[in-house]
Amino acid sequence: MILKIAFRNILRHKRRTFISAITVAFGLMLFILFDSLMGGMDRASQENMVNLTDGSLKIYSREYAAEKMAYPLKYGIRNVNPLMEYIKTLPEVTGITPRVAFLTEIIIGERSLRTVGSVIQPDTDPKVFTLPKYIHGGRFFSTNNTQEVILGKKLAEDLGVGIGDTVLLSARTRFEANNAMDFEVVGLLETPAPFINESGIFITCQAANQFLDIQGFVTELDIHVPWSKTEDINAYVKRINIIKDKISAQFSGYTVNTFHDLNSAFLEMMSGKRAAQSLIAFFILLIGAVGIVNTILMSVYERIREVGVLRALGIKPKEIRRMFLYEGILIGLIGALMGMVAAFLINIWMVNSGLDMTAFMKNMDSSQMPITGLFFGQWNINAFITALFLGTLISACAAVFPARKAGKITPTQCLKFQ
Amino acid sequence: MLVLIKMAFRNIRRNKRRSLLALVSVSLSLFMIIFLQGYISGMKRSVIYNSTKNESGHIQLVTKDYLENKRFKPVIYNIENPAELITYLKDDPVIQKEIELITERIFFGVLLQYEGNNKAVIAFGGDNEQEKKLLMLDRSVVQGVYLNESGSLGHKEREILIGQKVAETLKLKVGDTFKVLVSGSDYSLHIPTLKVAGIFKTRLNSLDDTTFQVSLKDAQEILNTGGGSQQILIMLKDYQKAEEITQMIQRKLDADARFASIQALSWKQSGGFAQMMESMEQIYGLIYFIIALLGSFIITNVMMMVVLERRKEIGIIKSMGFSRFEILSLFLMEGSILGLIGSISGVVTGTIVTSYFVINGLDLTSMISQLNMPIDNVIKFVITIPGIISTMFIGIIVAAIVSVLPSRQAAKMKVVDAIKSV
Repeated sequence: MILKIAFRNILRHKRRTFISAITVAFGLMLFILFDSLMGGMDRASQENMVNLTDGSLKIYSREYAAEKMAYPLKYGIRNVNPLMEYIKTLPEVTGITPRVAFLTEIIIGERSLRTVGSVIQPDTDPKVFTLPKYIHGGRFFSTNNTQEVILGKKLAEDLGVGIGDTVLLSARTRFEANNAMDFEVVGLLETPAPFINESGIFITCQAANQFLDIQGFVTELDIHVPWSKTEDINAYVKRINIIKDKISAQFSGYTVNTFHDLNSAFLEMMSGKRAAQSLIAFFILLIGAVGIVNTILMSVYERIREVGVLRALGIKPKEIRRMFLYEGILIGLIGALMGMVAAFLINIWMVNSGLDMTAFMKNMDSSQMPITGLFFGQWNINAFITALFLGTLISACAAVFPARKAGKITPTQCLKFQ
Repeated sequence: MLVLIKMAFRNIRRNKRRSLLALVSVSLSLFMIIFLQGYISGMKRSVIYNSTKNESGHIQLVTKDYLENKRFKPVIYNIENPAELITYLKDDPVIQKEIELITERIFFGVLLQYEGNNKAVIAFGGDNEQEKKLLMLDRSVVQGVYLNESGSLGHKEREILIGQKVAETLKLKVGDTFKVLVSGSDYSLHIPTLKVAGIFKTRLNSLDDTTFQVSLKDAQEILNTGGGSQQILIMLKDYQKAEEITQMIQRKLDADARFASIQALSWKQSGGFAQMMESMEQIYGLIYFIIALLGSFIITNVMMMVVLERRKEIGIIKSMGFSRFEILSLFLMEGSILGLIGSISGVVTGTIVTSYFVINGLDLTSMISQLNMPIDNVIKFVITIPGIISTMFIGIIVAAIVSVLPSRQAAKMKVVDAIKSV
């Protein structure tokens, strides 16, 4: 009965209810959209790490891991074969490939740039990294015995080279001699990972045998464990951590890292950013809550005579209190639903077309970021549930104060009031 | 008009609690704006300070060919006669007056290799004495000594001051010598021997992790520039004037055939983080506006209720001869007064809290220590009087705007309907 009265009271002032509800709706909408965008960014950068830059898991020798910032070619993985054979037997692993990272200088006439190159095995590499998918112009490595190089598209554009041109690479070999060699550009990469577009250099291991004198030597093994779109990041990391432990237990002398370990600093920064964003959304909700307090306080004063009549009819103060509380909750609920619908509609667009921030990011040194300027949202049911819960809770809290006030008034006070 | 203001004030006092709510929400949002502004300006100042000092200067002079290949920091498109150019500029009394410091620099990329470890770095050739006032690495030397001209033994070995993280990666210690391969301004390869004279630690990753300093003379000899320098950096007494003076310098350069190929760039044009911060400014402006709008939303809310509540009164004063315009101004005034008082209190509290951070700074070490951005670890907030005043205006204006709708509604009411309503 009390609920019915509360409901009728809300309908009495449609516009006022609407205004209060819309503040809550706006706050919750922003909350959901922030979450979607941030989640989408997180997901995209994590997928880039897994599919393009780091793989799910990476194995180094212990010595190499300790000095990997220096890209030393002196500490390779000994006994590659037993390690690879073992990993291939793991049911979840769908691909494993060796790579060697080397610091190199790429030179075309007066233009030169120093960056990290990768030696890859063309037949097994695509099972771990999705590079072939992003070849925009040219082709992936065809035969292994020629001196071919694949470059990031942006890098090639800056250097002024195209398919078929020759570039000079210079590096130290494994035996610390300087070496330089001509390579033919056969493919250009345009990936969602800016780092590859701007400074990616890939050569085959056959070419590297001569160039870096590595003779089958590898510094890292990269492992791919499929990650489905529906699987949450934490579940995935947990799953690959089990594989990490298995490998570590079986073989000593190696360091096994998940992509999560390798990028912990960045991922931590992302979650810090997320906390800041939620804080802003929370502030907005707070302002919405003030609106609700205001609305209910208003109705209390406006209906003070009614309250008196109700009290005179024998309705208890507790019930009066509950009536106003219900009103607040109902307004919050309506606001939450409106916010959810609005967020749902905008999110359809954000998930499918993405938010183009390239214009804002053009001045940034994006090579340090794991994603490009096109941000996609993602669906997160939890955010919607949280919004509903939060909206209702905040409005309930906001209604407590004016409701208590209404409950305290005596019938005579009410009826005297003009 | 005075009567209207009086009435508006009295109306505000009629329901103190409700007015207080509106005030609090406006203050809260302005407080947030002031705080955010202080933080962003502090960050911006830190970035501009560091990136102009370390990279671009307030004004940078380079050749047009260099500019086209900027990403590669080429050493073949040099200013051939830097000393001549510096005297030429200094001879102009107007420009001379604005200049704090003018110096030559050469940046060049090198692959450093030491005992099998590799690191790509940017070598930084600058005048040892001048750089004490500019890059100021002499204050950050943690091991060994700062560079001095007599320490370098010319062709035998050249002294360098190396970043602490570079040294750590390469396992270099003070006194170690090693060879590097560089391609010079004459397109040929040179293999100088470098000796670590000192190690610096500035806590800025963009320096500690990617650079070493070498004297300008050594850099010119290593690269065989024939006395040329890649760029000339100018620091001004007031960096805000950069654009104006850049244009002045450009006109002067264009006037002389010797310097026809040289381009002057202010720090806002030379790209990088300083420019990025500048372009972010507009986005932040929009965010401030949205926050103010949200805070003022409560005013709309309050005003709408006020109008509904006072329908009868509106009818009465209308029948007493108040014009539409007067009713409109009455309610507009009420909203604006709420906005004004709220803005003032928000700005005052905001300024007080932000002042704390202006003095003590906010420690962001844990967040940015991994980033390669030219930001100090402790950010000191910046508040400016124009910033505070404009924020206050945003508050007042937005409050006035949002009270237009309910006020118009009040003004439009028909006398008979208004009086009849309960």
